Amino acid sequence: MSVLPVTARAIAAAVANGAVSAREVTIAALDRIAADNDRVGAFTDVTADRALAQADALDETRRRGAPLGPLAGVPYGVKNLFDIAGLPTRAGSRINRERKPAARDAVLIQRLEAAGAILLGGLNMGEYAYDFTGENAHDGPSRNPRDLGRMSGGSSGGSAAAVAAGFVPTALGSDTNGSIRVPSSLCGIFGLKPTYGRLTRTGTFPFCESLDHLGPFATDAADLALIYDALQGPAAGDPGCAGRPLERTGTAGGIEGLRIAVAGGYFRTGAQGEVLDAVDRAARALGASQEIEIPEAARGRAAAFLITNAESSTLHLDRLRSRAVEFDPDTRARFLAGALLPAAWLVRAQRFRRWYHEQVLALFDAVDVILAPATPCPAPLLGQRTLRLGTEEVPLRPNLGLFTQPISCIGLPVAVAPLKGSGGLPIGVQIIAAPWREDLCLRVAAALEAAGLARAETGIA
Amino acid sequence: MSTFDPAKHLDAMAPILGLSVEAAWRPEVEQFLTVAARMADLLDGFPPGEELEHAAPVFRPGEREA
Repeated sequence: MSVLPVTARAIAAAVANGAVSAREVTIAALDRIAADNDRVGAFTDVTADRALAQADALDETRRRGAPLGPLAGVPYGVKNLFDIAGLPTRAGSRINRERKPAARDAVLIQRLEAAGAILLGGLNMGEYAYDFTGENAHDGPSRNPRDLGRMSGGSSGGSAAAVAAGFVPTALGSDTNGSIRVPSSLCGIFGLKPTYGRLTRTGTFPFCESLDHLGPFATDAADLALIYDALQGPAAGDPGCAGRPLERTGTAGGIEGLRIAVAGGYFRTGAQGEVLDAVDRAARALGASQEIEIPEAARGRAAAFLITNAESSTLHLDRLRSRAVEFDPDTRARFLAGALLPAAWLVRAQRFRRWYHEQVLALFDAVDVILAPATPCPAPLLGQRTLRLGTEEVPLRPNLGLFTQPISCIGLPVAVAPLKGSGGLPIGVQIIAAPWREDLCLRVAAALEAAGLARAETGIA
Repeated sequence: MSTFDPAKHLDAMAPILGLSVEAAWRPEVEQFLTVAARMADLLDGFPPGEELEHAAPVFRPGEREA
């Protein structure tokens, strides 16, 4: 086959019908990584031997006429907080490199492998996931393939960059306050943060377990649905996992009859003009004329901030006591501050979260889907420290998650669809639904694609 | 919020937790403490009312994780 297919679906179909071998697909992906990863900074570990062995086994399975999985031969990578058998789970840190190599893969890797997908390695991330930029003092930044001088977004920066660069058609990441949605928006690809508790986190290094979610990135909505479906299902070892059975999604079904609204108030304040323009274009294409207010979103963000700050710093307290000097300077100060928070602040945040959850759930009596910006701006320049929000110049790092944090605070499912901003860089729109309705997020993302508005660009600009 | 002094808070709390904060790190740590205090202030007294006294993370006795 002279031109290899791009999407996961096309790869799996071509491998299944013998148009291309899994080995050919794997070698092509490894060649792309070898040629360009130094420029992009997406992969931190490449598991080439493992990948080729798995590809050969898959090709042998096909020769025998045995059935192949729905992701046969699809190459992918995982944020390096996922356990990969034989590697220490670094989670973007220097300190974790001293950990024993993982004895087994994370459960979600096991599931993708069972579906036939081929793991190519671990992906760059902000240290211990406390990051929205994709910068990392130990491994260097993951760079934005749309403009290598710009941020990929974080903390799943390597995951988004690997997909946007065309290294792999899909990758896994994590999202606590926006770490799938922010890099999806800045790199211009599709991402899904499922409902809190949907996908098991067993075999991953945590950040803040009250808010941690795992999820996939892809180059279109149909791939996102296919991969997400392969990840679902109960598993032992994660007390936060709700254990729901597979609820198959797909993107068929369209949007007819769906009540779609645009988030107003908080979500119309501070974003740059081209960001709001992208949301408005999406709303027009979907026939969404209603604007609704997500009540107390600023307080929702505050609650998520405090829970994250206190809980994650407690997780790292021993390391902060004995090895603070080895932290990335950009996370160290936040972790140290978080370790010092008064208990009353955390309890206050937890109480508010319960109330806020009830208020927002009530909105879904009247609407099915809510649109909101994913980031207040397109990709900032690497090294940029501040951001203009309206008339105010604010610190960039915490504010990239301005619009994602109030949503993940209460675990709602969100897909991000990438639009083209008027300045030429991509910008993501959040498609938010009620708990356990990832299917609606994916259908609306597919509708934006079908309308010619949402599209992922791949390759390195 | 107006009474929160990040430097005093840091000086009081860091030794209790066994943390050493180098002088060079202090400005940023204090900045993040100030941001956290502002966030906590937003939530102070909100939502109003007593009916939320139970609204803490839920614990179910007898439930095993795996």
